[in-house]
Amino acid sequence: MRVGRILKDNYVIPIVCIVLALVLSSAIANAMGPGSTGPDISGEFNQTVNLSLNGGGLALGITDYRLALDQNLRQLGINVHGHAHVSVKGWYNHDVSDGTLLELDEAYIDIYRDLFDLRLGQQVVSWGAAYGLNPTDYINPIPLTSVSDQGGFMDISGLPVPAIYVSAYPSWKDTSFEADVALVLNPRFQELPIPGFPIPETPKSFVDRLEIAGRIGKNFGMWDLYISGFRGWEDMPVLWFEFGSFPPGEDSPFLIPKTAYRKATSFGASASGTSGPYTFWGEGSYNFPDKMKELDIPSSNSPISSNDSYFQVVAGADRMFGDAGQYYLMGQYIYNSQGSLLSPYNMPGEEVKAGHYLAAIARATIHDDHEIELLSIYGISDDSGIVVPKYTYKINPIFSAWIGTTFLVGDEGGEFGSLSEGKSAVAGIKAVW
Amino acid sequence: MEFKGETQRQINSAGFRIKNVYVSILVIGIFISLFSGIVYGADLTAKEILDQVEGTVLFAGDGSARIELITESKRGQQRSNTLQIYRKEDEDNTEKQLLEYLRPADVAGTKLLSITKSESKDSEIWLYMPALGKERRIATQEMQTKFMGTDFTYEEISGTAAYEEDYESERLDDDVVDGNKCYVLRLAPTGESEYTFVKMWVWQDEFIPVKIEFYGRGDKLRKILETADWKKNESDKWEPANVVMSDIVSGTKTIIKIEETSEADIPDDYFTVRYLRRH
Repeated sequence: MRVGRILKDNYVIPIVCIVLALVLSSAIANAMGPGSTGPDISGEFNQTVNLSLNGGGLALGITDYRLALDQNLRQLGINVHGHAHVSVKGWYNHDVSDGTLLELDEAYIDIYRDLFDLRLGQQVVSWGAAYGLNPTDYINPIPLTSVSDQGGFMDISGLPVPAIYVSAYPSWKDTSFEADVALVLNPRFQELPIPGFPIPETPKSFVDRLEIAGRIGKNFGMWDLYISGFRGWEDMPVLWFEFGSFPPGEDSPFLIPKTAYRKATSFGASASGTSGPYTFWGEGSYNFPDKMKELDIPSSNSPISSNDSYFQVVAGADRMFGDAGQYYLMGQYIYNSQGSLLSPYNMPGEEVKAGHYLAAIARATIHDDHEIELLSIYGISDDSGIVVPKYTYKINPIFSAWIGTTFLVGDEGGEFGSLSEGKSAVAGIKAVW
Repeated sequence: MEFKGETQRQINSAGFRIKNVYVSILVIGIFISLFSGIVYGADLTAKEILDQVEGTVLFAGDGSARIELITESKRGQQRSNTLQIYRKEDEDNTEKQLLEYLRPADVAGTKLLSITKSESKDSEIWLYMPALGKERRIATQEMQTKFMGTDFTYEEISGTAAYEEDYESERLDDDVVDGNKCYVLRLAPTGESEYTFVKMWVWQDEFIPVKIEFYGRGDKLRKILETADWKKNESDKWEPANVVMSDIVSGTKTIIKIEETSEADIPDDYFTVRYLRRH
């Protein structure tokens, strides 16, 4: 009965989407006549299972899927060099009975001209040279809540936003460079991760909501360098307590939690290059948030967020070993002047200590079928971190299965304590088509 | 915080495949751009035969190919990737290559661009991963020294071009391979090499190397490179439909099935980071 309900609740819509996509693809291909090709269909499906190591048995974890259609515009009979893409996705966390069964992921049209390439629609714009944490990836917010899922180190990508993205590649004599501009029409504001605070208002006016980002890139021999800037909204709201009136008989006033979104201006640079068998990268951004009088100190408020500017720097290197590149090592240093990577907030009156982190990945691939991976991140500032071992077996070109867990290193009350799986492991199966 | 574990895995996996792909490029290089001028002669010396073979082995100029690259484990398990390969050589001898994975789905859309300038020792290589939506640079040195894919070194695959200079050649008794008369050459390295000698079967009618055996310490056979299903392409040049490289020691194989080749000119903009980002 339970299995039947789970199937009904969580699998029907993805299956219906897949069937509809196949039918749609076939119909388009038929309508376009012989010799034409319909859209390419691709997708993936993941199912995780939580394994209790204390005899607690098995429990379904997270179900998620993604389905994408890609179509060359000329093959649709449109005389434009370009491409269209639509993808939908959904997920359901069985443990907390929460999820989204169907939502639009990306939906955009690419137009390729001699002077520029244009992407118009809901999209992810990926900037930056570092691994995982990209200080110059200004545009698409990363949902903090998803970090805690499955150990926090799964394939987490930014949320797509409706935007106009133009890339130009001008050249003069023997010098060429790249210029990119992104105009975000409707940014996505992140939910408040701390309960008890009111949901902040988002800006109402279309013009006020707009964000803009730009970058210029140039190749210098074995190195690529980008300089970038951004003016727009911070992903997370700022928080503060406002002092209310004194309750009868009390010495301290009411504390009224307050929230608001604010704009910021950012400047950054990223570089990546190779030397011998090593690839190196470095990336950083300096961010100037708009000052809010509510966060000023001293004031009549007790701020959790700060008016101070902040910056992040990431630098690292990697290399492959072995005759067939089957061994991989990566090391990366992360600096965050705001403190924690997982939260931009500090308790009122708490001194902000910059966060220093070391991240590393070691991986061995055996004949492309078996993969053993050890991933770790360690916070130097609070002497805590996590180690995430994972084994993946590629059953065939479509299916792969994996099992892993997350071990806490150091204090459970440290920054990464909430990411530990404790006495449990997570296994999963993935299908890609 | 974002830490793209899956993408990392893809990078590593792609890196593993990159090396396989390089093998395939070189093999295609050997067998696509083949010599059509033929000199017959039963009394040809080994050096004269090598002279005919040499110059046929370098894949020069523009071209593209679609291949299926199959790696086979000792237990016989096979993994298959289908790739589209574009190649161009500029007038200043800058070599440009673009590879795109077409199948399977987990790597489809992954692209690899490499540019090697004639005066440069290292290649500039960018790897584009569709899941990440951006490209990243890849270091190349190890690929160049060890040779790139599976179990093969650069010398094994492309060393034919230097056989005349770096090997002492000796002609052995003629042989027949797949019904074709072949010259058989014994090539012993004059300098440092991991092989004690190499045996090469050269198809007499076309001066095409159709089989190569590599012998190591103790004159033990270590690897065999074999070709099959030769046919003329649209440019009236011979090419094999199948190339198999067998590592006798490890028991592994790399099988290359050439599905389609073309010598049509490839536009310059294919070999740019801009093109990598396009669908």
